[in-house]
Amino acid sequence: MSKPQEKLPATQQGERGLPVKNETIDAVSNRIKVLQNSGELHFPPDYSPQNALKSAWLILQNVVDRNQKPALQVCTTASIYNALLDMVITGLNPAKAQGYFIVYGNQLVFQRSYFGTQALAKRVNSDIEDITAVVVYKGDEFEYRLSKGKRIVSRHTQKLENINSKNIVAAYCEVYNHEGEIIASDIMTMDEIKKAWAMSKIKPITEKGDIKKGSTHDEFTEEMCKRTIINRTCKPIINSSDDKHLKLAASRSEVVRTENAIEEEIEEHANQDFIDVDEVKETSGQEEPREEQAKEDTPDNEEGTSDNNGSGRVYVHCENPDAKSYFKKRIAIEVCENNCRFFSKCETAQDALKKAVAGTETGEGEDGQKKLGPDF
Amino acid sequence: MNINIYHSGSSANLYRVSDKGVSILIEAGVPVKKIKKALNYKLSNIAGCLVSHAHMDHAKGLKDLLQCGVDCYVSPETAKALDLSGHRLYIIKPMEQFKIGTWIIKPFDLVHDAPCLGFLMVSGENKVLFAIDTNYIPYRFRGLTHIMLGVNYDNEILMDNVTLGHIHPELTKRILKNHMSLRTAKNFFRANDMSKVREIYLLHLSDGNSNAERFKTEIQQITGRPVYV
Repeated sequence: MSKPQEKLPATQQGERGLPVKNETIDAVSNRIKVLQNSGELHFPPDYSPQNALKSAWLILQNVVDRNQKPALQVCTTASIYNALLDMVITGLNPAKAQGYFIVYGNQLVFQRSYFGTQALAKRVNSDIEDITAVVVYKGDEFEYRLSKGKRIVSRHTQKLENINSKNIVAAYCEVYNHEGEIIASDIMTMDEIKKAWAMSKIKPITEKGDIKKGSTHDEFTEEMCKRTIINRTCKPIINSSDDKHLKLAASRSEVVRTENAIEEEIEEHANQDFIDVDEVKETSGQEEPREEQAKEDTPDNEEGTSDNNGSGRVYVHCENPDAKSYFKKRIAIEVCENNCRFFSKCETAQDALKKAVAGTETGEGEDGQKKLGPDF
Repeated sequence: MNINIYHSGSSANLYRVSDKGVSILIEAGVPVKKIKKALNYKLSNIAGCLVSHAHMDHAKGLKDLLQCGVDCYVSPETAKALDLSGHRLYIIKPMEQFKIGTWIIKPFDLVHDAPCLGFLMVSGENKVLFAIDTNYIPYRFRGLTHIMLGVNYDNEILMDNVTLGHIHPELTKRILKNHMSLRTAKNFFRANDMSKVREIYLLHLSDGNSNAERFKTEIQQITGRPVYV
């Protein structure tokens, strides 16, 4: 169902030879109209889906994947359609830096920027007037309190000389309503921020936990901190929307990214080293060395008891806490030619076993499957 | 050599592998009543039960099974998670092999959101691989004769379901991280020696995100062996 994009005929060519209208765009427009007419989708008055689609299409001409191949050639039509639809449903416009297009394999996704996240939060919750993010530096006077599960800054004063991107200790975000009250707020320490960055695909954090030199996170640390805290504060607001289309559109890029990251991990780690069971000697050959080992061991305080549950299997209970058995306290020994598993090196246990075996010698093994080993 | 699939899927799992009269249960994801029923009320014929991890669809009947006097083999994490104890409980660790009757069993680590074990089981000429609830298999194997593999979803069907709103995005991410896709399964079969394989069982298919017929056909095409779903 997903034809390569280049095969789609551009129905109209722009002045510079760019396709400005296309079947994919038409399909997205039609779908939007259906949703609008059925009352499932409402746009803010200042949002024009058509304008956003035109901007997106122009931007898409220049989007390339990591091998510098044009996105419109490598991505499936279905993923292009979905990325554009996600963009329009969330009411964002790439021309306003509210998001950008990224290629994962053959999947195109619309990745919301933090400007987009703010715009979307405002749309989901019409009470929101403003969303601010502030960075806290070493030496700032900073206090916060907890209220209804939210961390709210109660005092923050800063001096100009404190401002130094190497001395960031935290960042906080405050969401105000039209009356100027804080309706949402969160604080992240620099440690938490770095942990969040460490999850990022571009890996801006070294293994020691420092910011990588020369990375965007190194050069624009303040801005990246603000971005992280805004995203974190706005995410619950966006997720609280009861518009299923919007929620899906807002989260699908994450699913595609997860899928892509997992594919890479699988490629790297799946089907690697060979494993096999270790060679096991025949039971009869195993008995003697075990007897010897048992004699070498001089357990000082132990008791052995045994029972036979009548199924041809003997259980030896060794009370010595230091018993060198794999399963310290209980050693099960199957009285059969094939094995005696988890046999203890403990002398008392062995004696108890011999007694137990002597008891079973007269008994009949179940189904004749379990017979006594020759050494018993 | 016999393999029985009593229950398989996201809600319950119960399997039996037996050779030369030594029967081993794998997983106990149904109440013990149902286990007994599946085994025709002959619980005493079971030499032991291996459980891969602590999730309920794999371990629901485990506690009662211990009470019924069946030797159960689980990882320390599983024992702790389910608060298991008793003289029928055996703690097994990855790469430390053990024996049950004629079976030599080597557990190994899998990739799931709970610590999960796979089992390489050898009895006589038979070499069985059991791996379920894993994103992928980290290892490769030589000379397998029977493969029991949990394959859960197909990427395309799953993503279609996301787009159609049939499945929640967060659940999708969990499935993607913790279960095996058809694509990964195919790569597993390509990476391993299939020359001695006699039977392949695909386990734990998702109800909504898979297509049993297609899974079967595609894996049969790659392996040239009979595939049971």
